[in-house]
Amino acid sequence: MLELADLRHVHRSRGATPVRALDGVSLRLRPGTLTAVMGPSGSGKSTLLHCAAGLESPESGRVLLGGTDLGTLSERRRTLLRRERAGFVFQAFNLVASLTAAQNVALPARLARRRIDGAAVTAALAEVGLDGRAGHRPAQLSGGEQQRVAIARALVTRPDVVFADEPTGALDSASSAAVLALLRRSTGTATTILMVTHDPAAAAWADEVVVLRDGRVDDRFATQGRPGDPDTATVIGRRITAGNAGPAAVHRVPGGAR
Amino acid sequence: MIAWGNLRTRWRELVATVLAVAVGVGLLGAVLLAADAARPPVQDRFAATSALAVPPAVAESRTPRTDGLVPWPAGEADALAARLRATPGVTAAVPDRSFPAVPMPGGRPFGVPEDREGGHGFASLALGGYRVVAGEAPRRPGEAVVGAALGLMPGATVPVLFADAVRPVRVTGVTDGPGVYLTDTEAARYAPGVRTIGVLGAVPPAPTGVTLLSGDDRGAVEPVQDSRVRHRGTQLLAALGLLTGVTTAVVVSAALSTVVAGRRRELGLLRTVGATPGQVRRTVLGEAALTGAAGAVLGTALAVGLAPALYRALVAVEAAQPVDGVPPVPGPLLTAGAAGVLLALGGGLAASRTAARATPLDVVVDRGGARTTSRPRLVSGVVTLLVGAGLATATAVADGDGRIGLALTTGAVLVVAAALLAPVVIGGLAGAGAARRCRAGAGAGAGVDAVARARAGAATRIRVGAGARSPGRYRTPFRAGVTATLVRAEAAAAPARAAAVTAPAVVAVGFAVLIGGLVDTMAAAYPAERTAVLAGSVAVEQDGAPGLPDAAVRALAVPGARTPLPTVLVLPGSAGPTAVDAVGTADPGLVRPGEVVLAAPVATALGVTAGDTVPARFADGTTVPLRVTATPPPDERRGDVVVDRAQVRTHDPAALTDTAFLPVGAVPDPLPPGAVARDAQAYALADYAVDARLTTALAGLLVAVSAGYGGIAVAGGITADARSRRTDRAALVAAGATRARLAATAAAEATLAALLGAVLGLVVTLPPLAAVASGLARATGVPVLPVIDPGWASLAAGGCLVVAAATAALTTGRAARHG
Ligand SMILES: Nc1ncnc2c1ncn2[C@@H]1O[C@H](COP(=O)(O)OP(=O)(O)OP(=O)(O)O)[C@@H](O)[C@H]1O
Ligand SMILES: [Mg+2]
Repeated sequence: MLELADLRHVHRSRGATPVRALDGVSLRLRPGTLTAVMGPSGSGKSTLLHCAAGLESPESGRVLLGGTDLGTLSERRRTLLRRERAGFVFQAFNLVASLTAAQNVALPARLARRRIDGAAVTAALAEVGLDGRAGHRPAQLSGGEQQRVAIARALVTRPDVVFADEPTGALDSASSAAVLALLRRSTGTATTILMVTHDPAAAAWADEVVVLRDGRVDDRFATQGRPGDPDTATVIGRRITAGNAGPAAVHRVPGGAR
Repeated sequence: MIAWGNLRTRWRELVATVLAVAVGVGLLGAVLLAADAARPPVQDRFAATSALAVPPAVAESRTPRTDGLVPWPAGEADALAARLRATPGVTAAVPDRSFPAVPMPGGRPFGVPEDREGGHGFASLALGGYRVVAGEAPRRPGEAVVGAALGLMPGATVPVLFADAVRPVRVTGVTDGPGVYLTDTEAARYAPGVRTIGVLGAVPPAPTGVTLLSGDDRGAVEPVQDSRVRHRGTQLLAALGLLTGVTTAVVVSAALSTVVAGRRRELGLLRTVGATPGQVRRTVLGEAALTGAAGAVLGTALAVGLAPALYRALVAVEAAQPVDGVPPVPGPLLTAGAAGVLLALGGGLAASRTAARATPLDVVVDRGGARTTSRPRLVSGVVTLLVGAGLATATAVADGDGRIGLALTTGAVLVVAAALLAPVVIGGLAGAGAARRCRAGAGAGAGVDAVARARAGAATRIRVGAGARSPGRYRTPFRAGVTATLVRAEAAAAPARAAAVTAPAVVAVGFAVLIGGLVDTMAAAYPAERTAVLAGSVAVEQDGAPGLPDAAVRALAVPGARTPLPTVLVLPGSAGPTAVDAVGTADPGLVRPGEVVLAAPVATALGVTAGDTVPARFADGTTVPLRVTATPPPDERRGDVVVDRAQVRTHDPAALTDTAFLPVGAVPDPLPPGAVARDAQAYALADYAVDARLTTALAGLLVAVSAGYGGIAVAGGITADARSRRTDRAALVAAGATRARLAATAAAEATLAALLGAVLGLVVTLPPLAAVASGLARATGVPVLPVIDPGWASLAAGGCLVVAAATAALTTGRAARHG
């Protein structure tokens, strides 16, 4: 379970004007759901993900991961919590270059000094369609393959929450569908997934879509139909485009935004 | 796992570190092996002993004329020998009485010219296991057993040069050992003080206040001329070891820091997937240890190959005795290897701390290495700087050999300080430059932005149409001046990275200039002062012998002649008993028996003033109170410690006048037998020329080592840096930069970093050089200015700049081609 309460964050860097990236975002994600975060570039999606995962500390607001307030934890305890409870897939640079695919997948468990079954690693790689590539290093894998190794790593520990920033950004539609199906399937074991995406087709696999604009939740709605349904994708696409046309065109789902 | 994986797949990045460790271990190992090979062998004439009993050494020796042992008086030595002899199992204990005795068959001196220990008591024969092969032992004064090498038969008579005169000696027997063996009574007259008691049979327990040397340790008792050579070698090896150690530490830590800086994104990833800062730190340390171990293995092989060459170089500069070979004994090699691993771990410590500061967000935002200097680095840099300042002060007040050693240490410490603080300086300079450009509205900030944006662009693989801001949106045109903007932006963004090039440059230039400067400063101070006092005089020496006997000195006693009788006195000093060079002078206007004149710097060092009475221990082991009558400024002609000549002769019957100085035109004709006369100033200059050649050769060796090593390190740092920045460069290519532009940027950046290193290196040499100059001025009473040899300085600095520019242009060009 993941709960975000009134998150506000301003990026400040020396010599540059501060950027208000999050401006009061509140979200509650139920266990076993997949939520897609959408919105224009620069709207604060990645920032939201980083704050939710405790990679970045918001200026104000609270993040509750499985009932624990991240803001009250030391850096070390936050790391341990992340290690136990969370999985990550970034937009890029997900793998340790000097380790093989299998070693990368086993990395979180090894860091936690937990024994990990070779078979579990192989199975996780097979799930993302990479059986037989276990011994390859990232440099020997394509961008999409690297992304899939990262997803296998995020899921292998059966975390409570998976944070994914554009996990399918580098994939063709067929592998995208496979990966998303995999993510979707993991929600069956009560894993909560927060996924940033630009792609309505990807968002169609979600239970719910949250649209950010200028650091605020601009729209929030549940998806209808079978996960991954192209029709759902079309609806989402249209709704987003309509939202871009201006606030007047937005049809809010009753009770969507909190 | 990660450390090992990195070592296997990232070896190219780590090559610089491995090489740095290997070169360091190689040099250090060679130094230790050479030092081991230079350990004095047991003298042949002690071959039969099981142990040598020696008296305690002085606390401080300010003279190369002695091994520092405070001799026992005759009675004490005999009593001690009797006591040792009484120990069960001891078959003999012989006080060794050695003194100058040069046989002159047919008037020609025989043997090693510098040997001051050619004469012994007959009892000493047993210490070498020598036998009388013909004839019998001497019974009366004027009789001797001599070495068979002389080719004399019992019954023959041969003139022998003793400290008092050349006298005929009747040969009573011939031995298979070398030397002249008088009766023990007569030997005790020439050498009343005893510095060694040879023990045969069992090794007895050491009586209190006595050191018993057994096995190879017996080599510590060596002839003075040998210990002089070895002293020189030891100093040189110590300097080489110091330079190598400091250089390795700086270079290895710079190389590891570069590697870590280039890997920040990956470290962030580790943090994201659950590595605690401690785990990240241990990973980097593990890698440092593995790298160090790899370097150590390579280095020991290098050391084995290097050691004989180093030893040959030492022999060539007369800093070591020739030996049959330099055996690759395990002890020194293990020590050097362990030092290499420790240095790598030490260097890894700083890098691992930086690594542990990586945050998960570093995966997403490539900040291009640490922007700020870490607090520990700043603090240790400032502390080191202060230590260096203290050492510089100590250098200025030190004298003798200590001065040069302290100057080198000061230089080394300041070099470390400069290497530690280089990032601060770079950051400061770049920041100042950028701020000025910003105020001028020239868009330096936009340049920084362009790089950051280009980087972010590469990070997201430049999603076209997704709103990634392209560098083109900024008003940073890729035209003339953009290289400067980029270089400054990069330097400001990653001072630590630029420091990886600057630090080795500081080392290379700093040490080269320091050593060159030391040699030149001393060269400027020494001969002028030294030879001026010799102008217009003639130097008379005994050909083929260590000095002039008294009889010859009397024959040379013309008005204006100086015939100093050198001896060693042990005086109470601040650190304890201190051995000093003293001269006996027959000038009642200067000193009379029971008096001593101390040059002001010596008096200060010993903590005495005119009017004090000091207990002086002479070579015969007796202590005589001497009243300090004056503490004038130093004068080469007079000597630093002057006592009455007759008093020296009384207490040191073995003392010999090295050289007599006579006014031109007053040289008696004929000269005493075997004596030769030379123009003193020309002679001193020729002597100094030999000395200067040796010193220059030594300095050249040191400079070659430190500058060559520094150069390798500069190249290594740049290569590692270029590898870790491929993505940036790819981003710049994507933004429209040509390969030539990239190479030019990299070369400019590297040259700038190296130039800064050269300037810092030059700056850090100033305090030790100034300190040495002021110390020399005080010791000689002549003004001395620090000299910086423009040759050394420009060679080292220029070399570094060329290496930096060339490596950067080449590696960047290659890296860009490979993407
Ligand atoms: N480290 C940073 N320093 C300064 N500003 C930042 C930083 N990171 C993000 N920003 C700014 O904060 C805002 C939100 O950024 P964020 O990365 O969250 O957007 P996003 O919705 O993920 O965009 P995209 O779809 O392009 O990935 C943007 O305006 C961005 O420029
Ligand atoms: Mg984003």
